[in-house]
Amino acid sequence: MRRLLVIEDGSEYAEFARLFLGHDFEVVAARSAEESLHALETQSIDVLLVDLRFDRAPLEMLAGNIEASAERLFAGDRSRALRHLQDQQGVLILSALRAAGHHQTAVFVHEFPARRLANLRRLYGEVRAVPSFDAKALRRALGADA
Amino acid sequence: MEIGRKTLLPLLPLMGIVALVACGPSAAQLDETQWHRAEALWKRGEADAYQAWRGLAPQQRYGRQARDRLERADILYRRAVEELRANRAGVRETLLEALALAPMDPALYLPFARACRARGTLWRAADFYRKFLAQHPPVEDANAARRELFALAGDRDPFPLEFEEAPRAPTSMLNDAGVPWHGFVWAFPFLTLLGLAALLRRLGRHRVRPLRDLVLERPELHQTVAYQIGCLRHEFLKHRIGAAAEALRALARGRASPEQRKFLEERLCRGEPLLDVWRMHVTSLERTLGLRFPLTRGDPFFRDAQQALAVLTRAVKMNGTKGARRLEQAVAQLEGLDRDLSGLVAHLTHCRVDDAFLRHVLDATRSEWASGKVELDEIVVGPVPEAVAVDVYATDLRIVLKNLLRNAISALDQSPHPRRLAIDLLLDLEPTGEEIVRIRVRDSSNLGADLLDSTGVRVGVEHGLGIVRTALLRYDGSLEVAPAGDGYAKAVMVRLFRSQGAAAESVGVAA
Repeated sequence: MRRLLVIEDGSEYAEFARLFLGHDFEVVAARSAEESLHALETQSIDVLLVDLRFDRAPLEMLAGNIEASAERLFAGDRSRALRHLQDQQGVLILSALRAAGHHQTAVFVHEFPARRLANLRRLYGEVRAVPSFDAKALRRALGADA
Repeated sequence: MEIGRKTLLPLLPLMGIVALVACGPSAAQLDETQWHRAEALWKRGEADAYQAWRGLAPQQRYGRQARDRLERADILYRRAVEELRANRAGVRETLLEALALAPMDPALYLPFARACRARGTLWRAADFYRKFLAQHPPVEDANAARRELFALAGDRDPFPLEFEEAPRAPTSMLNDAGVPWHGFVWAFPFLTLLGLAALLRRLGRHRVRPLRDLVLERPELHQTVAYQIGCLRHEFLKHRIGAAAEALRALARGRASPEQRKFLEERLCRGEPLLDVWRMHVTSLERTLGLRFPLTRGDPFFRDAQQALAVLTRAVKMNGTKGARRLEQAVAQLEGLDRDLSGLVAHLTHCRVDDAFLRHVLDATRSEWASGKVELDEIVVGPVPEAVAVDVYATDLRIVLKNLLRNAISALDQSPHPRRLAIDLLLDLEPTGEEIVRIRVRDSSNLGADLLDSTGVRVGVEHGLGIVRTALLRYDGSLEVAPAGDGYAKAVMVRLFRSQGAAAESVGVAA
């Protein structure tokens, strides 16, 4: 059976995956970039399902440099930088995984504008997005039918 | 009794007057009413604002406040005249402070005009001369002012010397040149026709145009209109119509369940009548845009929607027994209006930034009297690598950029030549796939370099940048000040996220 790594700050994605995609995938869960890297290095993972926003993750678990982000994007405002890191955490984790050489297809449940999705593909290769928790669309995006 | 009636009879008119006075507005109410009128005149920049302020009763609350503000403003206005005469810095600040307090005493127009003329700000001087002359001053002063104005503007001046010296208006049936009055008999119909044509043209402009056109030419109203459209969409089209759309379709097809019928009856027929709520939203838009004709006449989406609402209300009231055939079409029309409004709001909140936009903002800044008089040796606009859109109201972005340009020009005014100014745009792709737009204003002045610290970039909140920073916070933007190369001393940059919404300019991948 193919193995799906679910990366999120809660447990909703994993629960959904076990309930609706359990026939097609063995679900492995990770809550940070570090846990994801560990999972990818210790197990054979076929595809990634990534949450975008990590509101509930503690600061020390977030990927990305808050100081650099504050300086570059928010004129030194750390609180806005923190919010941005939380809002975009899924992509930043994907960035860390790609940098470590893991190039599995990544799927987001998010309605990215076309331009943004094109940019993500340019930066991170195979990136897909489905707008909502539609099991059929997710199965297709994750390549379960392949 | 009889005697009493006879005694009272002559007193009746007097009693009536007393009653009328007693029922009339109190002095305090009158004071408040007159104050609102005077304040409105001031805000509209009307010439008689000063007299209206002076006319308020000083023993009443608002009159007292007005008198106090006039006195404080007067001190500032006079100080500004002195500063102008002495060619001292800080005139603008003094004037702004005074302008924020109260209108200017027209007696100061002439001193201002002369001080501006002495300082070399000629068109500002001409403006004050004209304001002064419009007050119909004593002949001697008027003649002197006219001569000075004439000397400023020469032949092109719209106030030729002879104009004010002639009687203000003909008082007999002969004009000054002795032309008999019946000359006007021919001129009158002609002028009336001209006036009517102009009026019809003006009215027609408002009548036959859709909302989109009307809104796009009034950028100053974009935020208000976007808010009103948001209310119409959310409170009406979404919560009252959108929520009932499925049930309405079922009703149109004759397949509505009893629960759906009950839901429709409650949602659409109870509470405030649907058409009243609709009219309230539409009227608020019409009022904002200052329309003289209903929006439903000029905009096909609004016209169709109004008809659709009538169909829908009738069908629901008749429980689908009548009007069901047209019901589905009516729902589609209302959904069409919602989509159109959604697209319009998205367009309003987008601002397309390209070379032309930057040039427009620069020209607008240079057209201001303080910025326009500064001699610059080089102005560079762009290049913008590609036209980008940002999710900012165009009016706000213009205000922000004009502030930066004004600061840069003001710094250059106090710097040696060559004075160089540039505005351009940089585009960066973030690891998140978002794109960052940096609109950069560079100048060759070292003034304001204190905004930079030893490590380079930092936010500036001094020198008037605080207001820009606050405006940018609304759009998740920020302000940066950095050293600049290429012959420039510093760069002030507005950072914003590039819009990637449906109305963004292209779907191409960032370079």
